Amino acid sequence: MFDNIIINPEWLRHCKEYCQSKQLNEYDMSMEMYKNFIHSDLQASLLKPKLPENSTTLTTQRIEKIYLLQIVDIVEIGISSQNVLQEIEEIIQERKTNPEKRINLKKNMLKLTLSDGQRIIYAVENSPISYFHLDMKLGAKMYIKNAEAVRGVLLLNPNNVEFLGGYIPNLTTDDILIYLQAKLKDILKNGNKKKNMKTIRTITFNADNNTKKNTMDSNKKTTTTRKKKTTINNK
Amino acid sequence: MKVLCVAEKPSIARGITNILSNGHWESKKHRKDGMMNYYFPFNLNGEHCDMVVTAVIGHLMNYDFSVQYKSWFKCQPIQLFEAPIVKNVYKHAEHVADNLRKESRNAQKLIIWTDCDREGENIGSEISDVCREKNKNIDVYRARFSVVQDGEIRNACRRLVRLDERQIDAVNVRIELDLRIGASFTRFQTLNFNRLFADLNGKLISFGTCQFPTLGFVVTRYLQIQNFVSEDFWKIEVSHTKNNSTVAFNWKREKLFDRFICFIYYEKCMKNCLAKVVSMIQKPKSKWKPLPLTTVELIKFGSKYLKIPSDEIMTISEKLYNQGYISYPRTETDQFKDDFDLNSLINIQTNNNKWGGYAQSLLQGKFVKPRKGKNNDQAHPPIHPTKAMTNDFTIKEQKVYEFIVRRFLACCSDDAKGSETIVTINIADELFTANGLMILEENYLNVYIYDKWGEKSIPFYQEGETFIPTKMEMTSGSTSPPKPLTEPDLIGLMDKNGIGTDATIHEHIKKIKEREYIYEENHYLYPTTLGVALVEGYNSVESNISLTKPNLRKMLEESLQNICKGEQSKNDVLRKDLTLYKNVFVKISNEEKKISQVIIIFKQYNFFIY
Repeated sequence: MFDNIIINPEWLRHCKEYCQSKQLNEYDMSMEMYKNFIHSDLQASLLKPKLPENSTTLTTQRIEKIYLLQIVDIVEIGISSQNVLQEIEEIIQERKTNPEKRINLKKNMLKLTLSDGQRIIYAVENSPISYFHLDMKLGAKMYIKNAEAVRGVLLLNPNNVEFLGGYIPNLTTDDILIYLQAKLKDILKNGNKKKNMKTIRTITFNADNNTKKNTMDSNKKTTTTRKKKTTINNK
Repeated sequence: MKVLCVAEKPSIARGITNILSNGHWESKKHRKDGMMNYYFPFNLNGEHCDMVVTAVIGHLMNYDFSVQYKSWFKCQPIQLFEAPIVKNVYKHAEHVADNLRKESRNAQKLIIWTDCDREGENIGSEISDVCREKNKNIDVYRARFSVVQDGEIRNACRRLVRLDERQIDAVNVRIELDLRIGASFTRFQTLNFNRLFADLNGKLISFGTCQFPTLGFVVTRYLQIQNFVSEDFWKIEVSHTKNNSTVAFNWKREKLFDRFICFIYYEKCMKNCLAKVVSMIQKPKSKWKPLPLTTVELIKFGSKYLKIPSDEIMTISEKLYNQGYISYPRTETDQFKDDFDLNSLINIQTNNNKWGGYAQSLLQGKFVKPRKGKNNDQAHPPIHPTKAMTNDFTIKEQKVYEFIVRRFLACCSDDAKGSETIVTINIADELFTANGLMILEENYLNVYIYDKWGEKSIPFYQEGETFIPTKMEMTSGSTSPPKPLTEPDLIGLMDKNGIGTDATIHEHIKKIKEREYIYEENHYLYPTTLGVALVEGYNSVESNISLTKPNLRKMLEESLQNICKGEQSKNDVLRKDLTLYKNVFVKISNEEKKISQVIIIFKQYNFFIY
């Protein structure tokens, strides 16, 4: 099935050497090399890019080639970032007392950025694909065949994706949740800033049992704050 | 033989007397400002005896710290976790205790007729303790009943039991924990943070283990709204005009937060805009009748539909119960027993001019067994009406009674039945659906006016049919912040998180309103700056265990239930839970400066420039 790609000979040599040092039999060695391949960064392990030059505007009913691609970014576009962030923060909080709690993020529609090592193309889950989830490690490999492309976006369905798995070890930090939390916070900070401020009441107790001293002090303080308020409103 | 019966309230004492004495009794106050005692002969399970029925007015005993720890300035708050506690009769209950001592002196049996819940059991133990003071060998029994009605009361006499020590222990533990934790944190907060709030003028900043998580919910929602960032989204809207009516079709993907991707799909649909009907399904749809009524549901829906605050609803319900119009209003049970006599209860309602006709129709064949929920506190049935209403009640009281009746009659009705039509169309491999609904039988909706079911008609589409949509647009919208909590929302959150019991939820809400930690405006709950500052102050202390989140209190409540079940001992729970809170206290005390700083920041919250 790898008829479409050209592996970087440098990378292949390093890989062979590493595998030989482990003194495996032929079968185990090919498995080990395969494992190393899907955990590699295609930028290092592939020689020539296979995506067409116009990958970011590609429009076709059916792509003719089979592309081997890796995931370099994932975004949820069917749920608001705020809701996703809230869910992630709840899980982070729960994991403080229950570290083994499973992450089961709600999924609606994921948009992926795929790369062949040099060029990128976008893809969306035209229908849900079980292999993809927001908290998966980046760098997973798959091949895409027969998919429709519209303006540089591949429309993926379970029948046009063959998922290989793997990931790139140093691409993401250890804790995927912390990484996602920071990423989402960043998106929200730079995004739509329609903030909703509502002025809430300060407490006003009945001045029943005050000593003179207290009344004076509190009067002083309230007048000052009242003044502040008017200034701002006038602005 | 003399038998002393003690109820939790004078009205219950009257009710019991009326029933057991067959209307013939004598009454006398034991002193001018004292409690009323009722005297009559009674045959108690074969034995002739002189019955004396009286009441208390709630808890007799007050727990407090011994004198040396009472003063705020004579000891460190942390010492309150171990300081000795004394139990004394409340000053306002002195005459009540006095009466009990007098009447129990020459009595052989004591029967406790307090409300059948944990607190009632505990009050029962207080009554028993006071009576034993002068009469060590008095035989103490407990009567179990849910309604002040002839059958129930007489049955209770036939099936006397003993006081449940476990429930008594659970409440004693609760009282001690609330006292120690409440007092220590209140003193700590007030002494350290009072000066930061000038308008407090030395007033208490009180702390309660349930109050704070309740406040926490309101503050969390408020901050969520304040910190909300609106996000734009896009969707494809399709509509079709057929037979003079316009049908709106909803995109299966609903909406996307990526404009470009939405556009791609929109363009696909535009290029290939012939819609093909892939399915037209007509199927029956029912709207389920409500479950039998529990306390939480009563205060939640009562405050939602009737717009009466939860604590008022509880007061009204208690009044209705004391006078025999409804069953015991504190229950978690949402299922009726199979042998429960629903018919006679429905019959009672047939003369009412609002719902009498409906009640009649139920008896004439439209009756359907009530649904069964998952909860049963094994003590009381769901709340239901037990007597026909008269006009001597205020409007609010009548509204609450009406809600309970309508709910009860709805339970005994059939679900509403309708027919739903779902049309699915395919445009360029994107799916869109339209729904129609026709109501065939209203059934319970006829009496339960609080539920609505909206009808919507759509024209007929045949599978395979094709058409060009009249309108196909890509539209945008943006997300909006959640609304502030309403009281029913807050009740729901508290119930879900185990904060407070059906007996106390409304009290906690009332308390934080009184303390001015929250206030209500247009039926929405907002925190005051004091409330926000306190919660955020405590939240700034990093900890797995938080005073403002429900976990801690939930654990405490579970321990109390374990005591009732016999799975944990009283001392075990006291030791564990006190240590837990004490550790939190130490942590908080150490971070006092940091909390003060955060409070100052949040106090100024309203003056941030935006």
